[in-house]
Amino acid sequence: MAPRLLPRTTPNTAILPMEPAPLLEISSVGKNYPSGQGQINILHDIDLTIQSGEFISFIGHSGCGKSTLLNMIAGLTSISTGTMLFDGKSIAAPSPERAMVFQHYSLLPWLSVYQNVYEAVDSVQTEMSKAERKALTNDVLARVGLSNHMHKKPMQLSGGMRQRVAIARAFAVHPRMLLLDEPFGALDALTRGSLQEELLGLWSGDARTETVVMVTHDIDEAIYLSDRIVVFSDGPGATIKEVITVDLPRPRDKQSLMNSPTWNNLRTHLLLSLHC
Amino acid sequence: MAQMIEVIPRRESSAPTLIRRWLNAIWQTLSPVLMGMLILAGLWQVAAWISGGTLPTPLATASTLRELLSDPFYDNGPNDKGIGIQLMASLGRVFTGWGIGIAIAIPLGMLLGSSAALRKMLAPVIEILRPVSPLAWYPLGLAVLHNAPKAVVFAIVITSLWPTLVNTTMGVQNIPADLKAVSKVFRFSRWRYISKVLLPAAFPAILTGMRLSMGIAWMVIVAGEMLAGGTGLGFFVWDSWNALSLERVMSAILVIGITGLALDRLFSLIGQRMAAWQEGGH
Repeated sequence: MAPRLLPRTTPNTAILPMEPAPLLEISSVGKNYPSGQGQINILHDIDLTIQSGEFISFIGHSGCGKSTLLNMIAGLTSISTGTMLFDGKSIAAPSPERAMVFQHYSLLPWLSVYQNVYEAVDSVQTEMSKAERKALTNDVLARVGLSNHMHKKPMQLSGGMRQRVAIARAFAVHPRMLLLDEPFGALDALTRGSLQEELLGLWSGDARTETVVMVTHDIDEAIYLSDRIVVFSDGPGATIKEVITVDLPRPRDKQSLMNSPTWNNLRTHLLLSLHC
Repeated sequence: MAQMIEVIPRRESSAPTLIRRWLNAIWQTLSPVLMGMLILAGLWQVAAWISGGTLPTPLATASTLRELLSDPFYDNGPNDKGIGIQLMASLGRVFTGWGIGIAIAIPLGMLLGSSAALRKMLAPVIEILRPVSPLAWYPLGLAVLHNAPKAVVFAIVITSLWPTLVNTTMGVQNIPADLKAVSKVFRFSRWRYISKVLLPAAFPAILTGMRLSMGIAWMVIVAGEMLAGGTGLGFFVWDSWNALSLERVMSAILVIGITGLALDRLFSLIGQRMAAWQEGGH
């Protein structure tokens, strides 16, 4: 059990008086893993504040600890040092408020598509009636275009369809923050493109899930989707190298954006940042 | 192309050709089995010759076996019952003992697989008890239960415990971390986790354990019944030895072997069905 640091009951709004209380406040967070006789430092001095409504990407080379940080936000991995406040409260355990989409889909292979979503809905949406839970399950599956595949098992679906199920499952529990761990990394370029569009559609179409944090190693994906991109230095002992604001208006049109100077500048900047 | 067109009509076989093809396929699978059996019978025959008539020949055994199977359920009092009755008695004890054994082993294995602390505590105990021959428990069962057949069932319970316990523990321990994370993120209740994640994920390992338990239980029952007497295939073997009928001993060995094979096949069939179902078949 990592030592719990004193939770701050009131968010520190003194520094940025104009900003509303942040949804997530990460201060001096670090992660060490025991290794042999000593400890290996994975991450250190992570300071990051995420406002409600933002789309944030974590980008960096493999092993830089970006997924570890995402898992710490999810509450699946404990923090070694620092504080991490979600809505003013210290993150102690996983919660459907911070629903996660895993890189390898993490569907239960013995359950149908419908059951995979329904089990999560049934577990989380306790105040709903059974009919409402069923309707919600059908609704999210329709929104990702899987109504005709509801009764199939995950093994019978393509990778893109499986990830759609995982995304539907996460949206179905109405999380305040959606966490995505390299969600499209295993997919081909065409499928990845359409899933990015669908993710943006779901995000902008659902007022309850305002905030998204996504781990990626695809520069174009990060620019296209994000409001801010968090660039990590190489691990072990990684930290945040810089945070880049993507100043592109939404809704974004990929084709016209890819030729815009802002896009190219960001792309070049990120490429250089990641290669130095 | 011309060659291909020639080939197509040939594929629509007439009924006699189809039957011939069927017979051919059956022969293809059966012939190696028959060859194996013939080699076994040959070696057996040679051993019978060398023993100078002490060992029964395959043919003599076959005729005894036919006689035994012609009226398997006759009952002429406590010491003279048909081989079918003996087989049923053994199967009854094995299934009772095995059923109780796995009913203890599966929940215990689920606990052990879920808790590293519990594993550290109980692993040494299990490692000490596991290599003990289950028959060593027989006197203990006899002392407590005052009943020889029940004491045999007790020994079978102990026998069945270990493989299922070890395999269930391993199966639960090896549940993918991602699936555990999913049940934490979506706040699955304990029951939902057990029924929707743990049991289906560990099922193949549990089934393997159950199958191994059954295999060993079937081996132990014969020895147990030799000690206990009364009924069962083990008693039948010992009784036949006392009556100096090695033909009956050999016949019983064949019945024991074929039943064991059938039990094992039953479990692999269940396993295949479950695997197909998990992947979306039926």
